[in-house]
Amino acid sequence: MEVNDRELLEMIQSPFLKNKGYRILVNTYKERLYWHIRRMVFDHQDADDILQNTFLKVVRNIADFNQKSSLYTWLYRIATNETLNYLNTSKNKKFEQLDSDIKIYVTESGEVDEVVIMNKLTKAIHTLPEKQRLVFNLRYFDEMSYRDIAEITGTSVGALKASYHHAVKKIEDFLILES
Amino acid sequence: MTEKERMEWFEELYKILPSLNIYKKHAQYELPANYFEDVEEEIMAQISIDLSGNHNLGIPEGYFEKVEEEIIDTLNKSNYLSNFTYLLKEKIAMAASFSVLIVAVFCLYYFTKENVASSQEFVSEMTDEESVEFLMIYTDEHDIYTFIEDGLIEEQELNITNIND
Repeated sequence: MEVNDRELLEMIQSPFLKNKGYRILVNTYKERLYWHIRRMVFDHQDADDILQNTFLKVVRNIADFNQKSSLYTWLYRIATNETLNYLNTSKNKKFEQLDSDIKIYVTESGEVDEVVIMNKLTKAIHTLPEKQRLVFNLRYFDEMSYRDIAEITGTSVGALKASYHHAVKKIEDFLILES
Repeated sequence: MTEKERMEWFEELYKILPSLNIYKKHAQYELPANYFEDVEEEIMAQISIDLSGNHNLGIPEGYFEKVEEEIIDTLNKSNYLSNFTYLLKEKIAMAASFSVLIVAVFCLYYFTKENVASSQEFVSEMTDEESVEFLMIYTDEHDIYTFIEDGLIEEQELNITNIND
């Protein structure tokens, strides 16, 4: 069943269709939000906790959603805030140890060489500052427009472009150094 | 993302780092089996709890019945203890008062006895001259009448004394 944002919000506001509306919301956005969070925190368990907290926050605050932005950028904003809060509170705890623990598997179409490169790429992303990593992930993996990223992060489009270019250059430098 | 935006995205990445574009879609992080199905159910369960407003804070079954008995039991123990303490305090106070009384009685008895004994001893050791001298110094006419009433001296002797004066 395909529903747009407006229809979905109407379902959620209806006492009879509330649960169904939330089911569609979770089903539609769980994977995208999970990967967005996972690419920031790397650890699955952390990503799982943050994802669940994100949806609970969405449910508690959906009445305040003013529909000026799209639903998916609003969801991404909540997920991003939850993730950044988590990273700030868990700094110096275990995040720094993850560098050597990054594990990646390759899908059917992948080649062996790609595993090596993806491992390097993930390590390179890990070296980026949080904000740059966030911008890089949203642009590179989620293929978002700068307009949407600006809405999620509250940063100007110009600053985002500069941040993305810096991030890509740093990754390039890291990959050259590793090879 | 519109088609135009997608083209911009591709061109941008191609300009900065072409190699990155090749590997993006092939690799993902490890994930537990059926994770997305399971997490959806878990999130929906949490949402249901949140919407019902029934935030189960983990109260054990029959807690309120049990806690009532425990509170009454504690209060009873507390009453018994406070009663016991009160009685104990009362008994200690009584014992202390009694001790003070005994000491006071003993002191009174001891010192009175000693004074009486010492005054009797003092009088018995006096010579007649000393007795007369003592009486002349420490007695007046009122004492003399008392002596007469008590039969210590005769009225005749009083007259003699008067003649002498």
